[in-house]
Amino acid sequence: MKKSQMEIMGIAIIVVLLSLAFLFAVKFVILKEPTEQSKDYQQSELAGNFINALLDTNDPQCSDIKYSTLFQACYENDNGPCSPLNTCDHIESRIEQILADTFNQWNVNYFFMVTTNIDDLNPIPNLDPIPLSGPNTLEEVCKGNRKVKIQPLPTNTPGQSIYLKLFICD
Amino acid sequence: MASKKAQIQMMETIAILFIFFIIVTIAIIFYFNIAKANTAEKIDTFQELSKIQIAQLASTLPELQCAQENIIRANCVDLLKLKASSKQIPQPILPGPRLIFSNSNDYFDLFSFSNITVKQIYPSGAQEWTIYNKQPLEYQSKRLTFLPLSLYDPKLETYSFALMVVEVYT
Repeated sequence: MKKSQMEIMGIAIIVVLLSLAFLFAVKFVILKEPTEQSKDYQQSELAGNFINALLDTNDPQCSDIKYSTLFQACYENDNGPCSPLNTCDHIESRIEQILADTFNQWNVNYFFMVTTNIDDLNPIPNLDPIPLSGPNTLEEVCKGNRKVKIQPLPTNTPGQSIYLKLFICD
Repeated sequence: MASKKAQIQMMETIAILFIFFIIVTIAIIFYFNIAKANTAEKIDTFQELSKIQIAQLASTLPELQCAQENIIRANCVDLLKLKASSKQIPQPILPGPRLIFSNSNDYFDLFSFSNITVKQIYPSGAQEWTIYNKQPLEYQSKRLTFLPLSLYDPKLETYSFALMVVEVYT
């Protein structure tokens, strides 16, 4: 009687040990989150390439001036380049169109804005209601991981730059 | 009596061995399932990286890259080179073979089974060029990525906003 009881106890201990090993395997192997290095790289490349391409684009309705210059003109309230159109309104509508044909069409979550402070998330007054992602805030649009590209542009005001920020979100 | 005891012990040994082999079989099946999941994950990661590699290669091809006074401009495609290398949609104005599109076999080592197109977004969104298109007879899935870039027109000396769309067949 005692011997068989001991043997049953032995089997029970083996089963418990196997269960623990199985639980550890499930936790650390099966449920391990995969690293997404390619996704991080893609998002940061996408943000960088978009801003670089945008700033180099010439606008035929604004005397073929580049968008980098148009942003500066908008900040300085200069409506000459796109006359009779308002420079800031024109930039906003064109960029909305470009964003719609790229990120919206490809279902990429993004948040684009122009600010006067590198750390600031408040848009500059001339380009309000940009952010061009709509009325939502960055936290509402980008709930998960995000990659950001920040491009500074100098202005005629000494020491003052404007910053284009594009966040690509999960 | 003695033989009965021996028979019981033999049955006991056989039962233990039977349970042991069942446990070993379960462990082996479990291990192979984990290995299979890991391999599938690695294949998926490799295919994602391959998609990015093809996009990067296509955007830096000397046959398409912008160059001004021998200085190569990153993230830019020359419109004239693009027209000479690819198939324009709708029908091209100039007939004849295209440098890359008509010699897909020469570029198979670089691009494998994929479809690479450049689509102009702004100012005009109507034009599209297929640089390379090689589709396998059967494929399980298509992986898509897009890369914003500048499209330089050497005649007008202006830049447009374009997208390079890469579809990789797996």
